[in-house]
Amino acid sequence: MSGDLEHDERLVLSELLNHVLDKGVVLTGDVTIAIGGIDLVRAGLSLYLSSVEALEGRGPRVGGGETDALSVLPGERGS
Amino acid sequence: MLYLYCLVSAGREPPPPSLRGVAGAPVRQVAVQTIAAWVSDLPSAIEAVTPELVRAHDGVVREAMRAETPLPARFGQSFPDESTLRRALEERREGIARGLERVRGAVEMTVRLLLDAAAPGPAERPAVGSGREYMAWLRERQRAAEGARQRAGFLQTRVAQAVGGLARGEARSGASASGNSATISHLVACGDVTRYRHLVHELSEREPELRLMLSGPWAPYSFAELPGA
Repeated sequence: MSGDLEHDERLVLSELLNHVLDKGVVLTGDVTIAIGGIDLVRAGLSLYLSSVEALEGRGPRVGGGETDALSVLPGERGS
Repeated sequence: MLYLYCLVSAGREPPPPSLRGVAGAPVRQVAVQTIAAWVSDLPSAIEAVTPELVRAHDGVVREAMRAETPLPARFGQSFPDESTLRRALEERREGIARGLERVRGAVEMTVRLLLDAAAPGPAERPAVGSGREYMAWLRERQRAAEGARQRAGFLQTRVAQAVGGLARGEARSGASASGNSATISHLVACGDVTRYRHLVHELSEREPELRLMLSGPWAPYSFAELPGA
C-alpha cells in the first residue's frame, strides 16, 4: 500500500516538474536556475517514466479505470 | 531579489498574509495598472531545483487559482529589485492582460501517453566501427525517432477527438527524449473538468491499448505564453 502511495506521489511529482520547469510565462530571459540541475531532475524523470513502462500488470493506474488517481492534486479548485 | 510565481489581475484579492512560498518566504503583490505579480522577497536567487521548491512554487500558484485563474510563471525567475519587475510588467502589460483573458475561468488538464517500449531503436552508438556502420546506426535511430513521433501524433489526435468540444485550447509535446511518452494538454472551463475526466476515462475503457495518465486540474502552464515571447 505504501508502495502504491509512493508510486502515485512520484508520478504526480513527475507531472509537476514537467509543467513547472518547462512551461509558464517567461517575463525575463534571466532564469537563474543552473541548467545542470534541471537536466539532473529531467534525467530522473525520464528514467522513472521508463520504469512505469516496466510496471505493466499494475493495470489501471496507467491505463483504464483509475486515471483519476493522478487528478487528486493538492489545492484542487473547489475542494 | 524578487522571486516570481504568477501574474494576475490587479483588481482581485492580494495573497493571504499567511501564504508562504519558496524557502518559506511570505508572498506579496506588485501591481502595475490592471495587472499584478505575486512575488516573494528572497535574499538571493534560487540556483538549484528541488522537489520542495517546485512544490512551493506551484502551491502559491494554486492559491492564486482559488479566486481566479492566473498566468503561472515558469520556475526560477527572479528580479534584482521591484523597479526592474515593474518595468518588465509594464513592457508586457497588454500581452499579459490578453493572456489572463484567455485563461479566465479555465484550468489545464494533461494526458500523458505512454508509447511502445519497442519503438526506440538501438540506443548505443557502436563503440568502434567503420563510418558505414556509424551511418547505418544513425539512420536506424532517426527512423525509430520518426516512428515515435508519428505514434505520438496519432495517439494525441485520438485524445483530442475524444474530448473535442470541451477544449478551449490545446498544446502538444512531442515524444520525450527517451521516446517513451508524449503529452497533450487542454485548456478546459472549470465547470467542464468532470466531463473532461469522464471522456478520457471512457476513451481509455473503449481502447484499452491506449495507455494514458490523466493529471489536473493544473494552472494553465501550457497556455501562458505571451505574444512575441
